[in-house]
Amino acid sequence: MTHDEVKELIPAYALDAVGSMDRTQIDDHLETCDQCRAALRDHREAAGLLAFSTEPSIPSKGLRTRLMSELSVEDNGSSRSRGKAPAPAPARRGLALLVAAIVGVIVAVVALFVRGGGTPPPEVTPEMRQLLGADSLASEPLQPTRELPDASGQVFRAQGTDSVVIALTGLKDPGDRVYVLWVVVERKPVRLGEIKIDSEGSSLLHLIKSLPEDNDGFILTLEDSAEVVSIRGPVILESPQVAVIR
Amino acid sequence: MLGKGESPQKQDRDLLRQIARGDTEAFATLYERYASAALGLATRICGDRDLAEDIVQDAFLSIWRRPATYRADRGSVAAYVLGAVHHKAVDAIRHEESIRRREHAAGESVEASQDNLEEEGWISVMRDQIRSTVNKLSDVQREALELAYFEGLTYSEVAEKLEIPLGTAKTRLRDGMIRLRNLLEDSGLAETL
Repeated sequence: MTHDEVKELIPAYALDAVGSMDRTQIDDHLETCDQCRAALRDHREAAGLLAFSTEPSIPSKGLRTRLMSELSVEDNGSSRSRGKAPAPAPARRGLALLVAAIVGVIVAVVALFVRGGGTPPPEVTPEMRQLLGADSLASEPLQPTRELPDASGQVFRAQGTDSVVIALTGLKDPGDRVYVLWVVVERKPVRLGEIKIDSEGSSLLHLIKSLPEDNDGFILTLEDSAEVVSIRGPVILESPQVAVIR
Repeated sequence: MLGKGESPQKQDRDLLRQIARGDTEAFATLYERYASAALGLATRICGDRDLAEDIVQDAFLSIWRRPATYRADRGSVAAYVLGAVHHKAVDAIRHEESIRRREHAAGESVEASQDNLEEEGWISVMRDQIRSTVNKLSDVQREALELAYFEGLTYSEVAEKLEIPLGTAKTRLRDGMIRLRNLLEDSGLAETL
C-alpha cells in the first residue's frame, strides 16, 4: 500500500473501519511514517469524542467488582503508592535463598507430551521422580485463564522434600514475548525465571528447591522481557498455595 | 474525583503513570471516570448489555496489563480508553456469536453504581456539545460515520450497504472525519479531553 493509499484510509482506520489485511499494511506503514501517525492521532481524538455522543450507561456494581477482582490476581504487590510496607527481613532472606536455589538448577529434560485441544495436565514421569528423589508424588494443578484456555500445568511434590517440579503444556509460541514463572510469597510475586517451550507447547521440567511453606502458589505470565521485576503481562496459568510436605 | 487546577488530560496522564506502577486505586479512578461512557459506547455497538459489560471489562483489563501502550504523543487518555473499548466492541460484533446475542438481547435492569455521578455531570455537558457538533456534518457524512463507528462496518461494507462505490465510501468517511475534527477544534471540544 502506498503512502497516499494509507493516508486515504487513516480516517477509516481510526474508526476501526478497515479489514484485517488493510490493517496489517497500515500498521506496517505507520511504523515509519510520522505524517500518518500524526494524522491518526488527530482522527483518533475525533473518534474518541464520537464515543461520548452515545448515551452513557451506568455499569453494574458487579462489573467493578469483577474487574477489581481480576486485578487482585494480577496485582504485582509492588504498588507502593498505598504506602505498603516492605517485606520483613526474615521473609526477604527466605526469598533470596529461594531465588539463589533456583539459579542454574533448570534441568534439560525431554519435553512432555502434548495432546490436542483442552490439553490434559502433565503426568508423573521417571525424570520427576528422580528429581524429587521419591517414587510417590502428589500434584497441584495450575489452572489456565481466559488468555490461553488450553494451557495446563502441574506442580509435583513429594514427602520429605521442600522441592517441587513444575511441568507445563498446551502453551503457544510466545512470539516476541516470553513466558515468566513466578512464585507468590506473602502476596508478592517473585520471579523465578523464563519458561521456554518446545515446538509442541511443552516446557522443560523446572525444579524449584526450598519452596517456602507460606507460598501463595505459582503464576505463569506472558511478558515483554524475561527481566521484568514485576508482573506486567497477562496471567496464563495460576495455582493456589502449594503445600510443602515435610 | 476531578481535582482543581489541572486539566482532565493531565490528570488522566498522571493516572496512567500511576497505573503503570501498579496503582490499583489510580486504575479504579480511571475506571470510574470513563466506565459510563465506555459502557454506553459498547452497548450502542453490540446491543447487548451483558456482552457490553464483558467488553468494557476486557478493555480496562487490557489497559491495566499494558499501560505502556499509551503514548501521550498519540492522543488523549480518553481517546485511548474509549478506543480500546470501541476496538473490542467492533471485534465482538464481527463474530457470529454476538450477532445471535444481539438478536436475543433484552434490556435488563441492573443495580447501578452511584459512585461516578459526579463524573457524569462533567461528561454529560460535553456529550450535548458533541452531539450538536455531529449534527453539523452533512447527512451522507454522518450516515457513513455512524455505520462505520457504531455498526462496526468496514469501509467496504459501508459502500456495499449504501450501494455506493468504494471510493465514495472512503471519501465520505475521510471528509466526515476531517470536518468533525475541524468542528471540534473550532468549538474547543478537542482540548477538553
